[in-house]
Amino acid sequence: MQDATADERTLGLGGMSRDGLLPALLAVAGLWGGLAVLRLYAWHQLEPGWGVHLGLLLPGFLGLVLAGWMATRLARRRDHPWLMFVAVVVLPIFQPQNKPGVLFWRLVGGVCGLALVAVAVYAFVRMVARTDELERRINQEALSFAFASSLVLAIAYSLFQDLLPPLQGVWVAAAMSATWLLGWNVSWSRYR
Amino acid sequence: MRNRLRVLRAEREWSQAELARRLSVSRQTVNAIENGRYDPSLPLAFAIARVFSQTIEDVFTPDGAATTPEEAVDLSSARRRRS
Repeated sequence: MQDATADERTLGLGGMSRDGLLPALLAVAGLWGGLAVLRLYAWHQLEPGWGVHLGLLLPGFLGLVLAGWMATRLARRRDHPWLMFVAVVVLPIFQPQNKPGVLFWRLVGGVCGLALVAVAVYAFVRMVARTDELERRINQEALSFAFASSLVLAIAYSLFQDLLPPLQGVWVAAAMSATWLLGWNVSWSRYR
Repeated sequence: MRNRLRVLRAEREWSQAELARRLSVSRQTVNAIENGRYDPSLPLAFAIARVFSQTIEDVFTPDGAATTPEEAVDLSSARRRRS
């Protein structure tokens, strides 16, 4: 029944539900803030005399908990376009930083990021599996659009590679997610 | 594909949400089928027909096919004229 109400309350463009906007923004803020604070903590680990500072650790983890809570709310509402929006905005956080860091913390950060991605992919696949046939078709069309546009972008980039700055992997992932989101909105509007 | 979903639904005074609940699909799917923007799969078409206690042919008509005897006469005479 929650899905029917989410159907009604949509933003002007595409089928993004209005109720999903706030949880999505909070999830983005929690992830950005939490990870930024935890990174700061990890860099300070290099400084001599630095112990465990709850003042940095606690807000960092609270940010991640807030992000997880909001993402779960979106997943339970089956608001997967908003989850994809969160992915688009959040992925660039995982861009490698050229700052000094302890190998251990880099490893922890990498494993945590990977776990987050695995959970997100699992939740997304489960959500799509539960949708009805029209929603599944919209997802397939979005995926086709994302694949085709990513391919064109990749070819365009390779043609101008010498003139453009080196490409980071996370930006490719963010661009693919963004094209999926665009394709989803276009496809949703067709069946509206 | 044309369909009589809106008429059949109105006869039973069901909302789109109510029909969607009975078919276990989203309201958007019912709306898209009603407006002819989406042709349902065969299993869903059977489910729709079953919900209204009708046959598939009573609910769905292919484009260009007649829905009434009068339309059938019109269509066949038009075909004869073309040939």
